[in-house]
Amino acid sequence: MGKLNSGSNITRVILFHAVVLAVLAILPLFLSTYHQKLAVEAIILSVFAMSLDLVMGYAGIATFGHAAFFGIGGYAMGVMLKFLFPSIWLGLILAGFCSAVLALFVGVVSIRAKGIYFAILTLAFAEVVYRIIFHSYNTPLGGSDGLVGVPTPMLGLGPFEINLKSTTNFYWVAVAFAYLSYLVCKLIVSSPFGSILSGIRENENRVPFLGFNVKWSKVTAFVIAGAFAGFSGAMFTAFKSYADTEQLSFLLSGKVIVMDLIGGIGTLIGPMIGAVVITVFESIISTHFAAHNIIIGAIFVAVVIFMPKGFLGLFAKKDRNE
Amino acid sequence: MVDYLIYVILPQVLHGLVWGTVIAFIALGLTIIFGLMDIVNFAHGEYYMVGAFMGYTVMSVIPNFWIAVPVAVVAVALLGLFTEFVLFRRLYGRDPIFHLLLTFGLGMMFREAAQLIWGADTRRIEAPVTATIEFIGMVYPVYRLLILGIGICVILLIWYVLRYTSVGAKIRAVAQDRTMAWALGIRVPVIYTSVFMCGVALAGFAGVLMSPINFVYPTMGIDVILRAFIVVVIGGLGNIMGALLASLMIGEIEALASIWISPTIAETLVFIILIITMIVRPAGLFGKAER
Repeated sequence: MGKLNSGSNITRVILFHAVVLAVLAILPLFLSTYHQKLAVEAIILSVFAMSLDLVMGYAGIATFGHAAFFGIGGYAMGVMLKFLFPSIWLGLILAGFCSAVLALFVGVVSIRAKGIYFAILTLAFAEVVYRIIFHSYNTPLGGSDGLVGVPTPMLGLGPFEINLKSTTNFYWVAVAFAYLSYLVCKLIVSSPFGSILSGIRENENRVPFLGFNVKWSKVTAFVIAGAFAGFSGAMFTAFKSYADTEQLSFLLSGKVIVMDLIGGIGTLIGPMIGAVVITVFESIISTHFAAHNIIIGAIFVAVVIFMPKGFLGLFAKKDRNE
Repeated sequence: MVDYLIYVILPQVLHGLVWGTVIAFIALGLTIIFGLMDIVNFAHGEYYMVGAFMGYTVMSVIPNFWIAVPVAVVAVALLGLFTEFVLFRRLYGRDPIFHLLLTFGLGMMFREAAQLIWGADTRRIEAPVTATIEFIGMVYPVYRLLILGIGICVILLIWYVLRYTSVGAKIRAVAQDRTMAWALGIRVPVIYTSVFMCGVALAGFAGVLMSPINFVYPTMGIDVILRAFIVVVIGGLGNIMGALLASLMIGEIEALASIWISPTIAETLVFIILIITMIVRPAGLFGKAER
C-alpha cells in the first residue's frame, strides 16, 4: 500500500511508469510480426479485462456477460469504418456510446438482482445480443459469418497521420490506448466515486446511511466498464479488420473473468497482466496442441480451486460479513 | 379452424411437452444440486452431451437402444462421482460465482475432450421405435410419446423419493441446515456426492433419450444448459416445483412460437421472457421474495 504515502513516492511512481512504457515501446523491435500481432491482441484484451475489474473488483458485482459490450463495441467500429466514415476516432466514439447505452439498459434492469442472479441475468442479456447478431444473416452485420472486410484507415493525430496497417505502428497505438485507459480508470477508482464503489463491495447495507445511492453508483460503474469494454472491442475490430460473434460469446465473458482472477481483482493492473498472460499462454499452447481448450479449461479450474485467498479475498470477505 | 388446431397446434403442443420434459430433466438436476450444495453447475449440459455420446458409442457396438440407455446413465453417474470427488468437494461453502467459473472451465474441457474422442461431426442414433400413432387424424411418432411417458414417471419418482422416503427426508434436512443435519448424524458428504451423481445422471439420461430426435455433437450441451438455466432462474433457484412448471412453460412457448415465427427467434424469445421475469420478480416467478 505504498501508493497511499504521497510525497517522494510520486516521483518514484512516475519513474516506474516511464520505465514500463519505455520497455513496452522498444519491445516490438525484438519481436517477429507474428509475435507483434499477438502483443497487440494481448494489450487490447488487457483493457477489456481491466474494464471488468471496475465492476467486479471495485463494485464487487460479478457479471457473466461482459463480452456483450466488447462485441458491440467491435461491431460499432466495424459499421463505422465500413459503412459510415473511415475514422478510428468516430468509431471509438460510436463504440463507447453503443456499449454505454447497452450497459445502462442492462444495468438498470438487472441491478435489483443480487449475486448469482445478477450473473445469470447478465449472461442472458449477452446471449440475447449474441443470438440477434448471430441470426442477422440478411443485414450488413453478416450473421454468423461476422462483419468482414473492415478497412483500416489512417489514424489522424492533429497534423500527423499514423499508418495503422503497419503492425508496429498499431502496437504503439495500442500501448498508448491501454495506458490512457489505465490512467482514466485509475483516476476513477481513486476518486470519491471509487471510494463509494469500494464501500459497496465491503458492505452494501451501510453505504446508504452515508448518504450515497447504491443502485446508481453500481449502474454508473457498470456503464463506465461497459464503455471501456466497448473501446477495447472497437480497437480489436480495427486491428483484426473484422468483427464476429465470437467476440460476443459467453466463452469470452468467462475467459475475461478468469483473466481478472489470475491477475488479482481490485488492482486494475492485475487484470491487465492476467489478460496478457492468458492470451500469450493460449497462443503458445494452441501452436503445440490441437486440443488446447482442455488445458485452458484445466487452468481455469485450477485458478478457481488453488488461487491463494489473497486474490479471491474480496469475495471471501464479503461472504463472511453476511 | 379445427384442422388448424389438429394439424398445426396439437403436434406443436406435444413437441413442447416433450421438449419441456427434457429441459425439466436437466433443470431438476441443476436446481436440486443448487438447492442442496449451492453449486451452479455450468457444466451440467456437458453431462447431457456425454450421455448422448455414450449412448452413441454403445449403439455402434451393440445396436440395442435399451442397453445403451442404462450404460450411458451409469457412465455419466460415474463421471459425476469422479468430478464431484476431485473438484466440487473443494468448493463447498464458497460463493456460487466460483462454482460458475469452475464448471465453466470444466465444460470447456469436456467439450474439447468429446471433440477429440468422437470428432466434431454431428451424429444421430436410430430411434428404437419408429412407429407412429394416429389420434383424431393427427399422426405422431410413438417414440416422442414414450419420452414423455418416461419423463413423467421419472419426475414422479423424484418427487416420491424426496417427499416420502427417509433418504428424501435426509436430503431435505441437509438442504435446510447442513450443520444441524450433520449434528443429527446425517452423513452430509455422502448425501452431497450421491445427489450430485443422480443429478448429472439425470442429465445424461436426457441426453441419450433425446439423441434419436436431436443431433449428437460436442457443443450440444450449450444450447440446453442455457435453457435449463433460464428455467431454473424463472422457477426460482433451488425451487423444484418452480423449475418443473417453468420447463413446461418454456417448452410450450418455444414450440408454439415457432409456428408463427422462425425457431431461431423463438429461441431468443425465451431469453427475453427471462429478462422480463427478472424485472418483474427478481427472485423468479415461483421463488420467494428476497429477505
